[in-house]
Amino acid sequence: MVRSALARHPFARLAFSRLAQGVVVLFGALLVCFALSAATGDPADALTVGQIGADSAQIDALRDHLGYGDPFLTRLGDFFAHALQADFGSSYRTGGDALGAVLAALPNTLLLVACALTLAISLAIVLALISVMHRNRAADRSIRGALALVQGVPDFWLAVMLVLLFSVTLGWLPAIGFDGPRSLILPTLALAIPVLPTFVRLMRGNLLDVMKLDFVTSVRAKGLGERDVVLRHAVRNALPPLITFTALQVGWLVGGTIIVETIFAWPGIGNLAVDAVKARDVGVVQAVVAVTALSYVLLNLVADLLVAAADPRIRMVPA
Amino acid sequence: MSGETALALHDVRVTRGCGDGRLELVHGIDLAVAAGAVCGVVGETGAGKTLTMRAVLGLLPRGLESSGAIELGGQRVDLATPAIARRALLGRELALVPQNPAAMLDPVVRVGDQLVEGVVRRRMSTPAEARSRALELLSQVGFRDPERIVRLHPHQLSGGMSQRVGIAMALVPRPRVLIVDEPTSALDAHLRIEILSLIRTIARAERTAVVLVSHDLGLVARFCDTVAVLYAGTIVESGPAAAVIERPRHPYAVALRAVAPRLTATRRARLTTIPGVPPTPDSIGAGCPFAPRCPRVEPLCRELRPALAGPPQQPAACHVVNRAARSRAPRSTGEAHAGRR
Amino acid sequence: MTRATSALPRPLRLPGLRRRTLPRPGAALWRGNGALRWGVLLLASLLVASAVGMLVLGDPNEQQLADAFAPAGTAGHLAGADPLGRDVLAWCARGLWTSLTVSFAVATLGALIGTAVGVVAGYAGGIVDSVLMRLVDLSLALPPLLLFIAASVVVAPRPATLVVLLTFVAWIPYARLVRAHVLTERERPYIAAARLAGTPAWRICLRHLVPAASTAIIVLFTLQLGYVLLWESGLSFLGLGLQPPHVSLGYMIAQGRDYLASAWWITTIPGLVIVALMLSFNLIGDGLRDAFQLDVEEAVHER
Repeated sequence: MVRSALARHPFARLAFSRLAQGVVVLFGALLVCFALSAATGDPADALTVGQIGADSAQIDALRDHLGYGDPFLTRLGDFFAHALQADFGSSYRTGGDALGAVLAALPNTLLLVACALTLAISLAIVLALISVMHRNRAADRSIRGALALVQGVPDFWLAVMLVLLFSVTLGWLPAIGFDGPRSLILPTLALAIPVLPTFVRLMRGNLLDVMKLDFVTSVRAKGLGERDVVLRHAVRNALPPLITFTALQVGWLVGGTIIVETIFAWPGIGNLAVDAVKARDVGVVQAVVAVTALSYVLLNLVADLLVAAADPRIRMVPA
Repeated sequence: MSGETALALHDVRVTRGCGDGRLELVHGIDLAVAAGAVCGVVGETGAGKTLTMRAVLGLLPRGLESSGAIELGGQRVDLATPAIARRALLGRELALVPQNPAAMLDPVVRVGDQLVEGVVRRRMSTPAEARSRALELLSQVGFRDPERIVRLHPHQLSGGMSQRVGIAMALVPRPRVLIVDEPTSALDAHLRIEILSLIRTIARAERTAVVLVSHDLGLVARFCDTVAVLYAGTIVESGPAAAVIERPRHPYAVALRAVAPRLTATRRARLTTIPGVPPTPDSIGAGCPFAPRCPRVEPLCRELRPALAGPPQQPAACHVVNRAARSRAPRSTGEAHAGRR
Repeated sequence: MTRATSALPRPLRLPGLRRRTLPRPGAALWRGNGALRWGVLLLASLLVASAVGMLVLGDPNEQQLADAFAPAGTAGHLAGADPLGRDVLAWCARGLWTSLTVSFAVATLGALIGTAVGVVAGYAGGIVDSVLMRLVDLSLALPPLLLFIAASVVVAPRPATLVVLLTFVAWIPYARLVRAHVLTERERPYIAAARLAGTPAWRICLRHLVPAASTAIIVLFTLQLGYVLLWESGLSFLGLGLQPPHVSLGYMIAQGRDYLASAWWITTIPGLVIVALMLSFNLIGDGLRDAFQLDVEEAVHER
C-alpha cells in the first residue's frame, strides 16, 4: 500500500530514499561522536585540575559518576540510546543541556550560511552569465583572472583582511558580535567570497556545455537572439548541477563558518564548538557534530527536491 | 505546381580559416526551389549538405564564414553580411526542422511553450493566436489530442512524436521556405514514410517550398520533386527527381544508383561499392573532386573543375558526360522535350 | 569465460595490447603551457627563498622582547616582529617549509591510501565498495574542519600527528576518483583480454587500472595540496594546530589579530606567503588540467 502510494508521487519517493540514505549518514556521524568521547579520555582530570586537594578518590568518584568507568559496549549502547532521545548530556561548563546550547546557537549559523549562499549563488550566476555572453573578451578575462587570484586566498586571512579594511581602517562596519544587520555584512562576505570561484567556474562550464546542445540550434532557428537563448533556456538547464553542488558544499561552508565565527565572534555553533573543544566539553562537541550531520542530510534533501522541481526529467526517474 | 521560385541560392560558399588562408568547404552552390515543391539535397555524410543549409540560415558555427547570396520571395540577401543582421528572416520566412528529434527540444520547457515561443517573443502574434495556431498545426501533423501534447515535456515524447512536434514548431510562423535536415535518420522505417508524406502534403497545401536534406536516395526519389546531388561540397547533378535518380548522368550519381542494394539481387552477388573515400576539403585539387574515384576519368578532369552544364533540365558537372551530350545535342534535346512532363 | 590458468603456465605478454595511458612527459607538457610554467617557477622561487631564509635568518622562535612590535623595515626585522619579539620573516621562511612538508606528506599519503582503496573498491566491488561509499557520504556530511577541531582534543599538535589526522580525511576524494575511473576502465576489452590471458588481479590493478587513473590522481594531488595547506593553517590559526616550537604560518596570523591597527605586518605578511603558495599550487593544477584535459573537480563532486 505504501509502495503504490509512493509510486504515484515521485517527489515522495525521492524524499523517502534520500531520507533513508540520510539515516545511514547520521548513524555514522553518531559513531564518530562516540569515538570522540571514547578517545578523549575522561574530562575528570581537566575538570578537577583547578581544585587543589582533589585526591584520586574524588577523581575516581567523578569518573564513575560521569560513566567513564563502564565497559565499552555499555557506553556505546548508552550513548546511542541517549542520542536518539536527543540527549547529549550536559555541558560541563555551563551545566545546561548540551543539545540545547547547540540548538540555541544554530539559528545564527543558519542565518549566516543562508546569507552567504544566497550571495554566492546570485553573484556566481551573474558573473557566469557575463562571462559566457562576452566569451573571451575583456569582461570575461578580467572576471576569470580576479577569481583565480581569489582562489588562492585563505579564508581566515581574507576575513581578517576584511576586518582590517572595513573595520579598522575605514571604520564602516563592525568587526565582532551580532548586533543588528550591519554586523552580518562582513561575515557574509568572508564566507561567500572564497566559494565564489568554484561556483562561477561550475556555472560557466555548465552554461557553455548547455549552449553546445542541439536544442539551442532549434531556439536560434526560431530567430531568437543570444540573450533569449541564454536567459530563457541555457540558465534553466545549467542550474540543476549547481544546486546539487551547493548542497555538497554545505559541509564545507559549515566548516568555513567555524573560522569566520571565531574571527567575528559570531554566536553560532562553530564558535561554540571551538570553545567547547578548548574546554574539553565533549557533550557539546558531540551535539555539534550530530546537528551538523542532520542539517547536511536535510539540506541535501531540499536541494534534491529543488533540482527535481527545476528539471522535469528527474521527477520521473526513481533516485 | 507553379514555377514561382520561392528560394534561390546563388554561388553559396562556406569557408573556414586555415593557417594563413581560408579553406573552402562548400564551393559555389546554385539552387532553386519552387513554391510548394520539395527539393531534395542528397549526398554522403560530410558532403556539405548541412553546412550549406546552415549558411543559408545564418547558423554557421564560429569560425566559419559564408559568401554568396540567396533570394527569398523576391528579396536578395547577401550571405557575407553578419548573421545577426539577417536574423529577421529566420523564424519568419525561413524555418528549420533540425536533425535528431529527441535533442531538438529544450528538456525543461513544456512542448506548448516551445511551439509558441518564437512568434510570441518576436511579437509576430499574440499569445492567444499563437496558441490556437500551435494546436491547429499539431493536429495537422497528425496528433489526435493536441491539448494533451502541449502540456507534455519533451522526454515524454517518442521519436516520431518529437519529429512531428519539430515540424509543427517550424511551421508556426507560416514560413515561405522550410529546410528539413535529415528528418528520418533517427526514426524507424515505417515512420519515415509517414513523416515524409506529411512533409510533402504540407508543402503542397501551404505552398511552402521545402528543401529536404538527406542521404537516403530511395526516400528522396519517392518524395521529392527535384534533386540536387552534392559531392565534396559541390553540386554534381541536379534536375527532376525521377530523372536524376532513374537516369543519372554524372558518374557519381550513376555509382550511387549502382550501389543501392536490390532486394532482387542473387544471394551470391557482392555488394558494389565506390572504391576510395570522399576527399577532405583540404585535399581537393584544381580538378573535379570525384576524379580520383571516377571510372570515366580523363586527364582534363584532374586539371579543370567542371561546371554544371549540359541539358538545362538535368545539368551535371562532368566534362566527359557533357561532351558526350553536346555531340549528341540535336537528338538529346528532342528526347528531353519528348520526355518532359 | 574461465581463466585458462592451467593451460598457460604464466601470463601471456602480448605486445601492443597494453594501452599507453601515461601522457608523454617532458617537453610537450611544458611548452605552451603558461600556467604550468609560472606555477612551477613561483613554487621554486618560494622554496629557494625559504631555504635561504632558514639558513640566514636564524631561529624563528627566538624571542627578542626588546624588539617586540618592531615595524616592517626595521634593521634586523625586514618583515617586522611579533608581540614576543620573534622575527616575522624568519617565521615565514620556516613556516613555509613546514606547511609545504605537511601538505606534501598528507597529499602523498592520501593519494597512496586512496588509490589503493579506490582500486580495490572499483575492481572487486562488494563490501569494500559499499563501505567506501558510506564513508564518502559521511565525509561529505561532516566538514573536515569540524572533525579536525573535534579530534584535536585528542591529538597532540605535532607535525607528525597532524599529518595522520589530516590524512584521515584526505584519502577519501582519491578513493572516490579512482573508483570512478576503475569502474569505467574495467569494462574495456583490454582488461578482459588481460584476464583471459591469466593475469592475476593485483597485476591488472597495478599495471593497467592505476595508470589509467594516473592523470586524474595527479591533478587531484595539486588540488589537495591547497586544501591541506588551508586546513593546517586554519587549525593553527584557531590555536588547535601547530603551536610553538613548531612554526606555522597560521599561528603567526593569529598572533597579529588583536593588533591589526597598530602592527598590520604580523597578520598580513604570513598571509601573503600562504596566498603565494596557494597561487603556485593552483597554477600548477590548472596547467596540468589543461595539459591532460580533465576536470577533476566534477569527477570528485559527482554523486
